[in-house]
Amino acid sequence: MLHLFLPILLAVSAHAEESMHSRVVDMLSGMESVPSAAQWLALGPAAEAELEAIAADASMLPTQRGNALVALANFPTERALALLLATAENAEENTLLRRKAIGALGQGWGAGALPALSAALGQADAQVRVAAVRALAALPGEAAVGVLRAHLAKEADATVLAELHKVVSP
Amino acid sequence: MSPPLFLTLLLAAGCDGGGAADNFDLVDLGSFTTDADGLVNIPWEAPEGVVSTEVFCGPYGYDTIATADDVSSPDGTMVFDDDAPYDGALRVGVLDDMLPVLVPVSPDLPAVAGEWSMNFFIDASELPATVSCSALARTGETSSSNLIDVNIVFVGVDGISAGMTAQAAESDDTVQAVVTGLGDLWSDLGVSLGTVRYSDFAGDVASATTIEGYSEFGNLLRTVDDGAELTFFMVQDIDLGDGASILGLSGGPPGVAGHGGTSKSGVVINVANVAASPEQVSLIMAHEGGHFLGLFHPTENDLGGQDPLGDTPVCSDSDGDGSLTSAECAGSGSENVMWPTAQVGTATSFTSDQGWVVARNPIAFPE
Repeated sequence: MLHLFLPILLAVSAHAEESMHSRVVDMLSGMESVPSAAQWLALGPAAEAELEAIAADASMLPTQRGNALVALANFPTERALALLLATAENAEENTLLRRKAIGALGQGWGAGALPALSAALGQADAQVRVAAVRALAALPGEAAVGVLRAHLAKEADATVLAELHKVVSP
Repeated sequence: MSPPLFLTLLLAAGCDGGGAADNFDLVDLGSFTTDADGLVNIPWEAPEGVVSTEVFCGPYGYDTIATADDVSSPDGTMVFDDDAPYDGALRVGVLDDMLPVLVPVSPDLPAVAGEWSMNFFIDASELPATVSCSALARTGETSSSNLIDVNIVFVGVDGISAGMTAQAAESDDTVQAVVTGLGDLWSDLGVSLGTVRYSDFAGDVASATTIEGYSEFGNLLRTVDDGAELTFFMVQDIDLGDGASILGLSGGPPGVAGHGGTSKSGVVINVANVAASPEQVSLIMAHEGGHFLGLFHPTENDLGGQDPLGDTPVCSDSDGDGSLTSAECAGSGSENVMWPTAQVGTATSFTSDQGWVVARNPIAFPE
């Protein structure tokens, strides 16, 4: 009997995967709005795998990949963490993706992201450092403020300094 | 506290090079102070032969929002009621800093001569509050074929695509593909591109190239000069505060037409995807430009409302999950350029009513 039902089961499974993919891509492509955490979570755990696949897929558009990284903050698993860390630390990666990964680390892992966010302050790209400053500023506790205060003396870029000054006094 | 109408100052809209230079006049209505509940009545006069009229009030800051409690046409009919904002033929936003109200945004409510009035409501921490208001009125001919002049301002995006500078844009394949694509999409509205200007942002590029929140968005739009053209700012990213990128954002909608210096005077476009998909950037420009000119989403994908047009498709929530997807709305919305998610190659059409609205915008010039 299995040989009769197997093709049907495979077809149903493929349709469900395609449906999830197109739904997630749609949600990552909003003109002026982005989905809420509740909307992502409503898709269930299958959404996480789809977001990871899109984030890692160089054929997808940068904003789709970046928004997939941001959405992974709603699925704080070890696998998502590994992808976000790898993206944030990869100096060869698109600046937009590194910025989004840094923001997602702060949003999804909170104080647990302190080491990665502190390290991002050492990246050469000023926009990445701005993202790290913002992510650190949003963390609870004094440890992140201490990191930002210590970075103040080392920072030379005017845009990064302006962002730092919003959080810590010179 | 409305100033006498004879004291209003009639100003010629300062236009340079725009075909629509003589299309509209701007009237300074003066200052209005609300009552202790944040309400004040704002009347404005639309002249004989009016084609469109727009009143706008502000600035009141990015931490404060305002809307119209109601709007009445010259015959006294209430044409917008904030208690039922999607029921009539007018749409009014709930907006920070500056509130524009444009008539018409639907053929069901054409602009007519006489005194219009808006009960302006501001949700300010300190009341009473005082705002300044002005009104635009376009008179003259209308046509189903129109020109719109465009100013494209590059805000530090040459790192994404090298040709995105004022100097290189005219001969850059990517930029020209974007502009051609915009023209192709707008042709379905009956709109052709008039003068296309390119410039480099003269302000602080490093901070303005990634828009973070509505105040940065509004401050960028404030740099627009007066003129009967639509200004597009091309930036590296737009993030309204939750970390994710949006693709574009229009002042308003609708935007403050032809009048610079306000937080609703233009449109911002995210060009992060331009190298991979200039077609998507064309679509974003056509969509956000449509908002600026008075168009809305046919149906909101969170089911939160619909536009006031009779011929745009209405999509229903067939799977009952409380939201709409582009696949769910294939053939009933997602093929329209004003669909709320970017459907490159699919969202290619406008409707007749959408063309009617845009043809009457103060910065559209009849061919």
